Amino acid sequence: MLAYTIRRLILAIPVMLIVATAVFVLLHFAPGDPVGVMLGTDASEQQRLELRQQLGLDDPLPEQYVRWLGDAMRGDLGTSLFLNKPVTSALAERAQPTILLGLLSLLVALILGLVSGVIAASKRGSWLDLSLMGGAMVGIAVPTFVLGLLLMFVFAVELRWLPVAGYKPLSAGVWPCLKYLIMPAITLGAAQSAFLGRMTRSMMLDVMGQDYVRTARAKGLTEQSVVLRHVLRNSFVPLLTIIGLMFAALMSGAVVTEQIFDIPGMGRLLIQAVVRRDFPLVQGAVLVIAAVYVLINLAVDILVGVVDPRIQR
Amino acid sequence: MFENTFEALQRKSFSRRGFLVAGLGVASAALLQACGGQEPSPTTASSQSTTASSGSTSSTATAATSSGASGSPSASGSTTTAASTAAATQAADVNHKKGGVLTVAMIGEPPVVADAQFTTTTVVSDIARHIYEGLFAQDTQFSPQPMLVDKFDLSPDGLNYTFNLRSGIKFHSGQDFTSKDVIASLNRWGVLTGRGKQIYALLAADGIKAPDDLTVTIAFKSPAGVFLAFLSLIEAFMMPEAVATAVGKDKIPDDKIDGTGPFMFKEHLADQYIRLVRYDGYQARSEKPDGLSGKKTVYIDELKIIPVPDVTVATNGAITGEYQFATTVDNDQYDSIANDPNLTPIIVKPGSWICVNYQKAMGPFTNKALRQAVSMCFDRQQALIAAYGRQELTRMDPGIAAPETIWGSQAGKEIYEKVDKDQAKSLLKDAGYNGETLRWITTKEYPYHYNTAAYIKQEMDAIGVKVELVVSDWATVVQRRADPKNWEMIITGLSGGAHPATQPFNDKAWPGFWDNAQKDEVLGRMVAESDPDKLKAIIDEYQTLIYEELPFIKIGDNFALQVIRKEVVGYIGSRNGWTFWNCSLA
Repeated sequence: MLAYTIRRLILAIPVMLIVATAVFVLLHFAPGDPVGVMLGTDASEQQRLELRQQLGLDDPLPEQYVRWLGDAMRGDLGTSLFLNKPVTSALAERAQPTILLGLLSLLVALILGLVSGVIAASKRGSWLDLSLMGGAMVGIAVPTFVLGLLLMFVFAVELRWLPVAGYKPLSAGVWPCLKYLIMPAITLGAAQSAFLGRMTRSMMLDVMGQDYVRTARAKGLTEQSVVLRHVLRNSFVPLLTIIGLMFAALMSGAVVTEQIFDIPGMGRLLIQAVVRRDFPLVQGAVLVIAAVYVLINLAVDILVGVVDPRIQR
Repeated sequence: MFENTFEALQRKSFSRRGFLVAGLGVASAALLQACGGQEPSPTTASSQSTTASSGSTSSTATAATSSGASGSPSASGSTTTAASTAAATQAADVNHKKGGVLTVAMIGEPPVVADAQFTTTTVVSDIARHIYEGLFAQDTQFSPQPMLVDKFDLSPDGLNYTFNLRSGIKFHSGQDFTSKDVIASLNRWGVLTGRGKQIYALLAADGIKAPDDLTVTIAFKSPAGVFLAFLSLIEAFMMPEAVATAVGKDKIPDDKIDGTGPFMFKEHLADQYIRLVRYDGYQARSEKPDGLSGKKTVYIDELKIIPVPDVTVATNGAITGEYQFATTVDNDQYDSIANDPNLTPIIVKPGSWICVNYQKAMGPFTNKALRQAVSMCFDRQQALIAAYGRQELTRMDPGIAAPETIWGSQAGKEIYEKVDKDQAKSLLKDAGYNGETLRWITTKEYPYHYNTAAYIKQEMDAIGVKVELVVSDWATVVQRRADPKNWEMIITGLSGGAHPATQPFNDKAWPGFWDNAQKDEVLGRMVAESDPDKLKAIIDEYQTLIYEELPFIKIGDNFALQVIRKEVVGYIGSRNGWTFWNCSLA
């Protein structure tokens, strides 16, 4: 297992290098001027030129690339052009909101998705199955910004139960922090849960047709025991991979949800950095997101082996 | 139907059934919006709106007028308040309560907290205005009035200024404000900003001197009538000499923000908030408040500025009371704001104006007849509606400066208002237009850019001019427009409250590339002139030249929509930009 983990980590290095190079090249070949965005509309060309020189943006691209890659290998992702602070600390500041929102959304997705999937599969063809899966279709189809704004109108503007938008860190207290994250977590989790629900149902139906399920029923086990102990457990391996990918996506920040609910997370940071052409910040953020994907994928592969030892063999 | 459900949502008439219907409505409305199918609904302005322009009385002699005269501060008339009653209650009429945190939803995160010399971005100036002060400040007519200057003299030949600084002024760090700080701050301004460079180019050798701690003398080679107007802009703010020297051309970092203004910088968490607190050591002037000049008293304990990029969220936050003020509100939400008893919509006059710029360095628009043809092929009022949706937030006006300012002019009005498609077609022939496609680079990041372009393209198509809209994000537009090979037309928003000599199109290097000897000659006189009547004549002359030459098209004025909650007492409007001194929380 240890050798496997080390091998996978070594294999991650070329992946990261390819990601880093691709991002650098794409970003610098795409049009867009960070200096123009920073200085405002009525800055003169002379002012732009001076700032470009000051920021080193007029150096030849290969020189900029080698400099950036060398620094990145030493753990220095550069300084954000716009925020005027090291990229690593800008990313670290955004980690808490994104991680908390990601975990809460995953919780919402797991509870809603797994429960609805299990019920739909075990009541296959019933009105409950149809309505749950119909609801899931709606959940997948409704864009997050519509659901987010709808939740905001109802729970913040009308009922005044929750704040409209914003973020309070955990250090301000659990409830103050949580109340800002409930609506975004539901917004984000609902779409994921709809997808997870449909996948759970389909995986479980595959397993339900297996011989060992018929055997379990034949030996007189209760339906509950058949579904939870035999069917769900055996459907869990492919589901774990899906959940892992979902988790990685949530950990890299949710652009639309963070933007609507004014949460200073990774997604919002990244999209703003792209709009502002904050090259070092985009490069750093994409590199970190790639690392998150690699690590979570690795963790999922290890977990799958633990859940189903046959795979390790 | 969708409009009705949407309004029902906003008016809080909620039932379970209504919720479901409204949910469908919102989803459908959002889809329609995503498909670009939203139609602006014409509605009249509510009488509650606080137009900062209405009811303001004119100030007395402007500082810029006093050619050769001694310039003690002029006691100017008070700014205020709208005949409309709204929240903008005259500061003096109100018993203010001290304390409280006032939360502002601001449209975006600033590139630097308050360094208005580093960038001209509005969000930075908005914050800087609370922390820093300059030697002069604008009154409601945008005339310079003394702020950190006590008295000043201008020699009869208009070349030598003597500024006597106010004594006892301290920076937030406790350090005394002296003439050394003035010189260091002005030197940085002269290096970093376009206007500063313009002024420094006119200075005599060794032109700035500090005979003592509270006196600064400034000598020019040739008269610079615009000097005080430029000094009254927040970009000419005062900082300690040590800070100016230490930061040089770099941004002022958060830990070096140190001004003399009524608020002190406290904390900044990027994309979360900026906190300013009352500066209890603030030495206010004694004159009545007028725009950004006169007496400033801070009643609130803290001003918390939160970047809220989504305008719908900013409005929702104002409705629920999370924000007391939102700097930018969606125009479509005007009715719901006006109908809410806790809110007052503010229409900010003057605002900005839409400038459709021709690329005149090469290609078809070097021909004046083609520029004229495009100018008269469409109705500017229709273009304004296409751009902003609501008529009350726009205005037809030919001026390159707004009529609320001392620089407003009606010169060229006939050409501005002229719509004649037949003449436009015949001008196309004169211009020798041969059917080539004109590239209009634009962005959807600012919806008015794209909406205006789409409307004018349709009208240009109708007279036989082919236009291709090249849509990209703003950063790309800014980069592409620098090279004349990339485009023929572009849109920019320009300030209506700016001195005409400071408009960016004056610079021949600015995208649009207007190179004209007569323009340079008139501008030279405009920069030198300090007599307001003569200045007015020069501005008329300049504007006439603009309408004869048509280097660009002015579409019309746009007024930003803001919202303030009724518990904010004494807010005087946002004519010179929003400020939270002289007002309190009920």
